[in-house]
This record gives sequence, C-alpha cells and structure tokens, in this order.
Amino acid sequence: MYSNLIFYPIFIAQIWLISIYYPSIISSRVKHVLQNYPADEYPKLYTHTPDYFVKRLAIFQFVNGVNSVLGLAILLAVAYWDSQTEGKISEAIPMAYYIIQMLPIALLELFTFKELKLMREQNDASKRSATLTPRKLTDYVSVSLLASAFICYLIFVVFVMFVYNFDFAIDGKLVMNLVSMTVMNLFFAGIIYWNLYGRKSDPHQAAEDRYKQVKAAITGLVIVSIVSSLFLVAMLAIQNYDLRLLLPSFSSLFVQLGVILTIGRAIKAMDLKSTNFDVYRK
Amino acid sequence: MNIEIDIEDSLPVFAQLIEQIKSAVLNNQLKAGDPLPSIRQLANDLEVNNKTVAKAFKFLERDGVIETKGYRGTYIHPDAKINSGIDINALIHTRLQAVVKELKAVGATDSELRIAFKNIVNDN
Repeated sequence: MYSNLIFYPIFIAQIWLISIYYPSIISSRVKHVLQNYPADEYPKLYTHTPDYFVKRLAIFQFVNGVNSVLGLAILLAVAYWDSQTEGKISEAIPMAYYIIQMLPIALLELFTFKELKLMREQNDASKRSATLTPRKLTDYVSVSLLASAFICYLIFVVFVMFVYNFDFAIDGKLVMNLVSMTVMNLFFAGIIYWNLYGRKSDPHQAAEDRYKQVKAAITGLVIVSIVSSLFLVAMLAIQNYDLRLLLPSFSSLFVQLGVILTIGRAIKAMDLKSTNFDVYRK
Repeated sequence: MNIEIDIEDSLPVFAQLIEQIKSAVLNNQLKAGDPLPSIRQLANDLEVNNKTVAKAFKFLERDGVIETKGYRGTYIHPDAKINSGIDINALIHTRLQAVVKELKAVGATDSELRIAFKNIVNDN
C-alpha cells in the first residue's frame, strides 16, 4: 500500500536518529571529556573513577545497539505482515518503539541527576556566589515564542472543541484531550520554573554555562509545547479527513521532530569547546 | 553584579548579605530602583535557607536600603545610598550611651536602667 511504503523510510530514520545518531554523539562527547579533562587535573568533574563512567557508557551504547536491532526486527515484522494482509499499520508502533528508544536516554538523565547530587554532596567549598540580578523567563526565551506557544494551545483548544462538537462529557474524548494537553503544559511550566529558580544542579558550573543550559532547556520545552499542539491538531484533522493511513508515518515524524528540538538543540547549545572546564580544576 | 558569601566566616550569612548589598549601593554597583532577585532565587543560588535571605532583606528594608513592591518584587530604595551609610548599631550605641550617662549622673542604678530598658522595649 502506498501509505505503508512511506512509513518504512520514516521508521528507519527514527531508528537511526534516536538509537544510533544521537547516542553516538552523546558517547563521543563523554569520551572527549574523559580524554581531554582527566581526573588528576579536573578532580571536581569526577564523582567516581573514570573507569566507572567508561563502564556506564558501555552499557548505554549496548542498550542503544539492542534498541537498533529491535527497531529493525519491528520493521521486518511490519513488512512481513504488510505483505501478507495489506492492512493499515498501527500508529501505536512508532510511539511504542519511541518509548523503548527513550529508555536509555531517560536512564542517562537519571544517572546524571544522581551524579550531580553526589557532586553537590562532595562540594566542600565554603564560598558561594550568586548574581544580584533577578532572572526572568523572557531573559531565556523570546516573548514571541511564548506567545506562539500560547496561541497554538488556544488553537488546539478551539479545534478540539469543534471536532468533538462541544461534548463536555467527563469521560469523553474532548475532555480527555483538553486535560492531557493542559497537564503536559503545566508539567513543562513546572520544569521551566525549576530551571529558572531551582537550586544549581552543578555546584561548580560557570554562570555563562548555566545560562546556556537553562536557555536550551526552556526554549526546547516551549518549542515542544508548540509542536505538540500543532501535532494533535494535525492528528485530529487527519482522522477527520479520512487520512488515517498516514497516521503511523506522522507519529514517527512527530517523535523525531521532538527529539531534534529537545536533545538535538541541547547538544548544540552546550558546545564542549565553549564550555568552561576550568571551574572543575583543583 | 555578583555577591559572594563564606559559610565558614565568623560573620553570619545574613550579615554578610547585608554588608555586601550596602557596600554595592555605596559603590554605585546597585542604584536606586534596581531590581533584586527574589528570596527563593538568591537562597537557591547561594545554597542557604530561604529564612536567612528573608532575614537579610528584612533588615535591609528596615534600614531603608531596599523596598518591597508587593508581587512586583524587591527594589533598591530611592534613598538607599544615604541610608546605607547609616550604621544603625553605631547609632543605637551612641544614643543609648548619652542617655545612660545622663541618667547615671542623676543617680540611676544599673539594675534600674536594665529594668526600665526591658519594660520600654516590651511596651514598644
């Protein structure tokens, strides 16, 4: 089927992007840090011995390798099923696989969180500094981007109300869509607040690096909010205009775009060459 | 501008904050109307308790160095430069010394002065 044929290259791109490309970039960044900023010169960077990080990195690479193979297996299974039945590929396939693909990234985040907590506990510096300038959301993200996120959310609300004929039944699809999108945006708002006013996760991090990191995180979340609103509007439109066969391809493209806008942007923003590693020296 | 505290210093953290903010005002690093970070932001950045920063802000507000404008935040007071130069502790010391000297001259005892001082502080 034509729409199924579109799905295959898009799904291959999903496998490559999330389980091969970005993990390899992350791995090469970790290796670069381990090689260029050794523990004897930059002791504050290491909460454990370098070997400990090398082993964790090997696990990360292995899990991503397994995920790549799993992705290809899913692709072959779908192709076989498609050749036999010529039915519609479920849009749940790219979504479910995306969740599996994100597991090593989520574990990496958890690992980083724990390591930074340990770094804070090991920090015995008695001197602490802070800026006397208040941080504002608009220092990190433009007003136009924030307004766009709000407008896209409103478009979504209005669109979903029309699609479901203003049926506000408590267990209906309209309420479910509105609640899920609102909860997601509130969750993002919480993360943004934590980034802006929460404790410094890395006690040694230079102020300019912290600014770059917070800016990348906040801008990424605002963009994901915009994309999510537009994606759900497009999904509903596709369902309404009987283009359901494109849903799996569309779902896969959506998750890839989400990863590019969050992980991709964060990697680009936190360029290692411009990061100040002197703060981790003895 | 940045502020730096030393948690191992003999001077309490809130007093270090007061001293540095007043010094920044006197050195024109902070000017009248300049916004200050929220208590939470400053406390999190310095990794100290919110109450410590709140205490410093309370004293700075009392001394007329900063002013709180409700939800809009905290700002440097229009008369901050003049007020930062006033040492409240030195002022109290000088005024009380003069009063105590005068009362002792008319025969007031130390215990009478202590009781009277305690009562006046409690009444106010």
